[in-house]
Amino acid sequence: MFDTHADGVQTVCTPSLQTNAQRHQQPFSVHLKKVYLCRLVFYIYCNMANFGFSIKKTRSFNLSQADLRKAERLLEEVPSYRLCIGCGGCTATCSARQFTDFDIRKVHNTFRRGQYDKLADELRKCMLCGKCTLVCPRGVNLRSLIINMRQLLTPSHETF
Amino acid sequence: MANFHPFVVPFVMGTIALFAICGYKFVRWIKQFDRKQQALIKKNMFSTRIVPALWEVFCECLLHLRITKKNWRLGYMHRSIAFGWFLLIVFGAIESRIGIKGPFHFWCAIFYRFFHHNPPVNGTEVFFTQLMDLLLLYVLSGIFLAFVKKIHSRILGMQRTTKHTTMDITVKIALWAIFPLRLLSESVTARLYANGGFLTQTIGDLFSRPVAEFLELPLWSLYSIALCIFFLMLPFTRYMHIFAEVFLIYFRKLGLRDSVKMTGYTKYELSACSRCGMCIDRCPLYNTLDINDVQSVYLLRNLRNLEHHQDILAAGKNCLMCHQCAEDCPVDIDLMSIRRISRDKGDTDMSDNYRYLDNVKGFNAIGRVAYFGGCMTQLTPTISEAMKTIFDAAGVKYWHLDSNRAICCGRPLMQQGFNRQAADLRRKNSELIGSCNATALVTSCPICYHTFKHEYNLSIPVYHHTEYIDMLIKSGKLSVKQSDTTFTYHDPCDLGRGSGIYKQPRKVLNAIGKLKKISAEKENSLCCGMNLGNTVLSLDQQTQLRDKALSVLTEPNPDVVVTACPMCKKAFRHGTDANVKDIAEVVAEHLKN
Repeated sequence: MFDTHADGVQTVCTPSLQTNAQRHQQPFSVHLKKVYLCRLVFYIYCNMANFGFSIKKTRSFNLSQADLRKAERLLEEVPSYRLCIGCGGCTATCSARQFTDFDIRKVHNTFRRGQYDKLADELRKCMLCGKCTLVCPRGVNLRSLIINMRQLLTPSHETF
Repeated sequence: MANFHPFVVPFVMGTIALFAICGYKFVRWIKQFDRKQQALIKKNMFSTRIVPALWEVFCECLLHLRITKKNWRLGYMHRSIAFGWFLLIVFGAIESRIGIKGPFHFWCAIFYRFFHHNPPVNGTEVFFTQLMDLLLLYVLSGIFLAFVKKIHSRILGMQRTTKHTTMDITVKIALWAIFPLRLLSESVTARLYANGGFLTQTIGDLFSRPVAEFLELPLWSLYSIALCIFFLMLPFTRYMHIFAEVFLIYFRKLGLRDSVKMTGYTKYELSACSRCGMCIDRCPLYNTLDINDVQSVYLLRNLRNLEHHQDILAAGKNCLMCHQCAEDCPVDIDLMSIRRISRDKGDTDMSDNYRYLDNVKGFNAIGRVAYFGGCMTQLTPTISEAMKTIFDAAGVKYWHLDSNRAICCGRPLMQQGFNRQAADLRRKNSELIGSCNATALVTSCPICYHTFKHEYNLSIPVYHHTEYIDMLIKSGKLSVKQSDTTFTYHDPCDLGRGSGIYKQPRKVLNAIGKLKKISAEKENSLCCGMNLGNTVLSLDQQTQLRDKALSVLTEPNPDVVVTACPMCKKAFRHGTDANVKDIAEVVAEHLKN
């Protein structure tokens, strides 16, 4: 529903791809640099652990064993959440994300799958400014969603 | 026992119970004031503030001037009952003091005609007899209007009246019965002893003597019982406002305000609500969406009775916080604060985790103006660009506080009852703004403006950009081109009703082009529907609210629909083909080079 172009935001243009012919016209030195660069990237890739990277653990889980009661309750409270297509617009515009590593899309997606561990800590970073609600192309009421998730994850909440 | 008859017993019991219960409640609420409020009371209790407080009590509790200003028919109705009854009591007391022979009891004033059978002889007695009849007629005219309002409220200019509880209806019937019963019993006595005035004597003469003799005692007893029922039920029903409003006005004049939690002061406010229902008619939720159980009158009733906990929560959530009811309230209760109190999450909710904000460093901006666009302005960057153009054109040095990263002002959290979390954001923002040594804070968002102005204690002045542009034009730093563009202006809730800024944007727009009048503006401006206060409305309902506001704004066919809020702009732009702009953009386009 909200296009950002009319407000003056420019989308980042991707550089146009070079054709094969152009690439062959490059001087040999440039070609050589690219070769070294490729080898460097390959070297880093092979020794990722030494550069602070690691292989991600598989995040698979059994949906039939997950406790989905809270997630179902959330869908009842915020029916518009059923419309979510997971585009990530909310995360892209998030005020808290401008300062820290906070991914609201990841949070509500994980919540929906019944994986509630550590979500409370994450949700406490939200400032509730409401930009996510305004940019959501599907009209999901994200502020309501966040408030409800917070309530459902509060230990004193006696529903479950 | 002279000057006594058993029929006065219900009245005496009712009166004693009334003062005992009211006294108990009022003292208990005063004990529930928080420390700040208690300190204010101790400081100002006997100061000169008492004089304006008494004056306001007279104007509002008796004359009902504020209601009269809004709707003179309702004003007359309330004034005739309140002021008329008050005068009846005062003059009745004086008259009985003069006339009663033998021991004087306080009930003699109320049932004077029964205990004083001699017809008026001298000038003073004749004067009082006629005056009392006139006052009774005055009160009866008010009761008649109240009856008309019950049958057909539109005659008195109200589309909808409150749905009352059984208790409220019972006590209302008792109140309505008091004055006709007084008229009848005085008339019957006048028939027997010829001690009535122009009204009671005329009506009394319609009765035959045996009928009058038969009816006299039952009628006086009924009058006493009606008074008893009214007095006994008063402290537990809406008529508590008669006394609570007096204290509320006094405390308000002493400088007391609502806290973020329920305090004794809030209890006075809850009881001062007369449930007149004036907050219902113009509530956008009722007006546009036909939601009729969440208005302030119902929220206050549920909060006061502390019943229907789920209803309190549901009604508390479903509110746009557009300030319309607070504007319409004839008692001037701070309805927005009470709404926030009803949403208070207290300590039950999880604490915040804003440690990531510790790394945000300020900027030394000595001699500059700090410009805070706000989160919403990040979504409408044309507004901040326009503001930068204006700053440059006026030669004002500025520092864009949230050019790439914005800390929220805390109002969205406050509105949802996360008060502790909001306090943390406020602290961080205060540090940031305080450390930058700027000369002023200019913000583009009415929500932030309202918060910085009322919730922060900043040492520098806070302006919304409409105010600031108006100041720049007035001081001659900024000059604008005249053109023949026509505008309509939308008053954002938090800027207009919330902060009372109506003149400045109109002055600015009139300097540029021609501002057209619309049917609902200034205090009556409609909410755009995108309000942060509500999390319950669906997108469809928000769209309906927006369309209604837009239909008013686009009615006179303006060239540009102007607003001063990034959120209103965002809401409107997608609902109309008309040109929607922020006031800063309009000014930036019409700068003289």
